[in-house]
Amino acid sequence: MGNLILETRDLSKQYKSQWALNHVNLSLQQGKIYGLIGKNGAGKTTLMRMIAGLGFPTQGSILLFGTENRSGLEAAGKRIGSLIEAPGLVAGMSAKENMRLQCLMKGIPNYEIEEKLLELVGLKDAGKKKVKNFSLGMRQRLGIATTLIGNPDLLMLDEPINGLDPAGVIEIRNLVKKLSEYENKTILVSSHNLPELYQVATDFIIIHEGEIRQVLSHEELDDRCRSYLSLEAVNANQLTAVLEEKLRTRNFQVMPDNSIRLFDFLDERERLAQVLHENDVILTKIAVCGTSLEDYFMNVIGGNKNA
Amino acid sequence: MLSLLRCEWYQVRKSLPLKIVVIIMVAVSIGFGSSFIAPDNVSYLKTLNRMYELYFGGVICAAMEDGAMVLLLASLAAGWMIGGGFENRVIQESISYGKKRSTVYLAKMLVYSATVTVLCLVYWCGTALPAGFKNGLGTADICGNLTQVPYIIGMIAAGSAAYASLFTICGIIAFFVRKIGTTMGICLAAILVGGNLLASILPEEVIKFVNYTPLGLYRHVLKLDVTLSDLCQTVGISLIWIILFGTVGYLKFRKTELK
Repeated sequence: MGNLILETRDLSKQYKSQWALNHVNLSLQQGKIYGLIGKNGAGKTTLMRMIAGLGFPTQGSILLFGTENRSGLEAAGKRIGSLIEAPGLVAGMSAKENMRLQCLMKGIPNYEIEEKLLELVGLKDAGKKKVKNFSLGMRQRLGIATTLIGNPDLLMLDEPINGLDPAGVIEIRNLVKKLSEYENKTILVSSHNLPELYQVATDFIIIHEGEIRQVLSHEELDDRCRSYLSLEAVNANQLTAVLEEKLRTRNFQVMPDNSIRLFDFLDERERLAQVLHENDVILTKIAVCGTSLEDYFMNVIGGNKNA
Repeated sequence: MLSLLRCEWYQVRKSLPLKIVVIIMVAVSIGFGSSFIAPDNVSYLKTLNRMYELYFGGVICAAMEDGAMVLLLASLAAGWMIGGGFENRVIQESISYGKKRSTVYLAKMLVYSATVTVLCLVYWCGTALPAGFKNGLGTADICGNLTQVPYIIGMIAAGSAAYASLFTICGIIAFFVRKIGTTMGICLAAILVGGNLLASILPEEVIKFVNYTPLGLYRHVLKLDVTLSDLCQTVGISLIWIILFGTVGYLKFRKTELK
């Protein structure tokens, strides 16, 4: 188990009569990519703003790198890079000038980092171009580059793919993946696009109406959303024997009701049926089952009328 | 704090709008200053008994009376530098990075005040240069104490402090509003219109008090027979107003929820 980078305890935020965050308890470990998923208005940005010090919790506490006192949190802020709502860029300056501005603000005397980071985000040739002439994807990438100044241990990216075209989405996705290998950074990235986050995150935090509904790893999500063939036979033991000996697969689960969940042969159902028939296995049911990511998410937040 | 000041100064250096304003100020001030020493103006000033406006100190005094120009510069700078800092999210980045809100606030207000003061100095001194080159400092019977360089410098310093107490309000409005255009509009409208409105409706006794507020403080030093006492009193009162307004602004900013 890695070090705890961030912990929130009963974190709550109230705006007038509405609770934007309601007793949020989170723990983020070092080196993981956490996908924070929720609908618009679920509390994703509010949570990041509280952590970044842009807002003040109504209740609860935030521990950053093990500290929650005021001076400790201010020092801890230097170990965070955040891109919340939009990147902090001066439109009239070039990419390199914006990087220099951030270096000055953060007290980083090493200006060589500017070129390295611009190259990392794929903006090496755009250093002299003014930000006002950048596309949205370029601005997002430059914003990510500025968050990396100071080599932060925790990166918070708030909906970095919003408004991007498919090429831009792929660029950001590849960049985030590269960053997770870049000195073991912990990344918290929020989105309302679960399929996109699925391709990037190692762990998922589902938030709805200010509450954390579920925290699960990539493997757990895979397990819950996997497609499979649901098989029922007169003789379940005979069925499993044929699967292992004739079809040479052990990629199945025997359920308590003796049905079989087979995760192979999803596209070879005819062959499967033929082999089972040839081996005198009498099937009483064969069906393709499984939950899509969206359906799973909607089930968790209690919004799936089709479930 | 030092890193924030460097960051602010870098933004000022790289700001194209500010560079344009400086160029315009230089051109306008020298053009305006040349009008003071135009032959037609000499006889006009004689009839108004304002011959001191042909000499360096006198022209600076006259230029410094133009409060509207100062307010225009202060409003523009408050909008660009402070409102712009919120709109482009550089201020939010500083706070997310762990900089204290007090430090962010102080750095912003210091550089903003210094920038406006420099712009004003460019205007005042640029206006006085043609008269200074042509007619010099003048004589005591025409220009009073403003023939002496220490008094001219003192008048500029005290006048700058007095105006600083006024444009601190613009800075605070910018921290409240956090938008470029709205800041400029409110600053110009509230102070210009508000000042004129107050002057027209308030009784004489109250106006005397207003002259000790940022709205009228600069008048105490813009006179030919300005004394050391006037200068010190003005600087002292200005600092009190600056600290008062600055504190009010900070107390609001430190609890502000930032998007």
